[in-house]
Amino acid sequence: MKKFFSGRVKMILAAAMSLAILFAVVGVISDGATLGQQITGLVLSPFRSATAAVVRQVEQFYDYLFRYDALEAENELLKQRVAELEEDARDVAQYERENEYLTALLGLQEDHPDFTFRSAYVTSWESSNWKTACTISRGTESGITEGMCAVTAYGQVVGMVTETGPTWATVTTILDPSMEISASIAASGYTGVVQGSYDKDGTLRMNYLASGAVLKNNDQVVTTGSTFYPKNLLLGYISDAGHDETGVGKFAKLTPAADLGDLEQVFLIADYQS
Amino acid sequence: MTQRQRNLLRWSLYSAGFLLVLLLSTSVLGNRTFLGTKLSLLPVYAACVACREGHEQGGLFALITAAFWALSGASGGAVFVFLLPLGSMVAGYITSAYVTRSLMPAVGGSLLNLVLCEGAVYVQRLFLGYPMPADASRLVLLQIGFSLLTTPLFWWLTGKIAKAGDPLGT
Repeated sequence: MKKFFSGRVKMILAAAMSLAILFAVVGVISDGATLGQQITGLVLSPFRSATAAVVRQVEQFYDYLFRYDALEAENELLKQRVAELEEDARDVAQYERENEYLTALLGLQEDHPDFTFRSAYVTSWESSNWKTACTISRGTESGITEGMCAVTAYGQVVGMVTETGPTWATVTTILDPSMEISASIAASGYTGVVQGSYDKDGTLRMNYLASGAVLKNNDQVVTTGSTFYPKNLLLGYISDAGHDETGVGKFAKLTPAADLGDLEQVFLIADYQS
Repeated sequence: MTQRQRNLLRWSLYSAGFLLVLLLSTSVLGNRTFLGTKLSLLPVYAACVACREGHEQGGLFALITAAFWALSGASGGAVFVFLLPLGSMVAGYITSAYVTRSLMPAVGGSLLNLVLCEGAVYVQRLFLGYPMPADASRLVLLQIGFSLLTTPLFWWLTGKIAKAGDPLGT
């Protein structure tokens, strides 16, 4: 073993130990991306974008070879129509409830939020099993800031920007257990907190629901509106429910509305009126 | 071509290989799971390089790549920075001192690196009380198993790079 512990090996081990401690400490105390991460992200950005573009092309070519184009177009059209119809239905239920509240509150009227979007492509995904996040192709140079809400083209919530660099940003998705979003059930108005889970089937969990809440399968769950998330964005659909561990409240399992498995592009809400 | 130029070419190609591994892990396979788990390619690649180049150079390469990996925002980065060079050096040392340089020691080195790195990240999360899936240990074992299957590919790739950087076979 003498030969193994040469002077150079000791130096490498010492450097590794020092760097590991440094990374751990910086990781704990820093808020958002560190300078080192920003530089690395900047260097990697073009490679990630190029690779993502190649992967997209390959996938499209594969689709072209093995699937019917028409079927795909029809599927896209139907998706869009379903999203529109769902939004209409959700709006109706929401308006009915709001109408009751507004009548009760002497006719106060709530403004509809106006969204300003920035679009970006997904260039890479977190490679570990413990985190669900993706890197997108735009950063602070394009006006992306931490805390922006990311949605799909159909207005389904994808997640939130948690780190930014000049030409890249990290979106932590709603499936990540660190994400907690204030939400309500569109049809009934019961409120709770939607959180990511490690469930194999990629479901979300809505916690802190009232014990008397009536939960129906396929009920839509939307954001209630907060600093980061505008009101009435679709999070998912109820797929299961039960009493939580305390027995005091209820929880619901949700199927996320956004198809994160095939996500290529996201839209970031840069501005909205709450 | 001088020895210095050959070395430069070889390590440039190893670095390009690392970039390929990083992009494969994040941009190509980052959103794909195999029986619920993602692949961990860097420990395998670092072990193959260490088995080819010896423990000192392999360890230094593993340290640099792990630091870059951590800076790219990968979770568990700090754990990798210490354990990847350590595992790679042990793998490189055993290969050069006790066995012949071939695929099987590289598989052993990859296994060591995977168990050290992914195992440590798992244990760290377990003891720090981070939220974990119910079958987390199974996922880690699957991840190690599936990732290990890529060793022949990286062993072949590093072999080609070693040859390209040493065209005269010196």
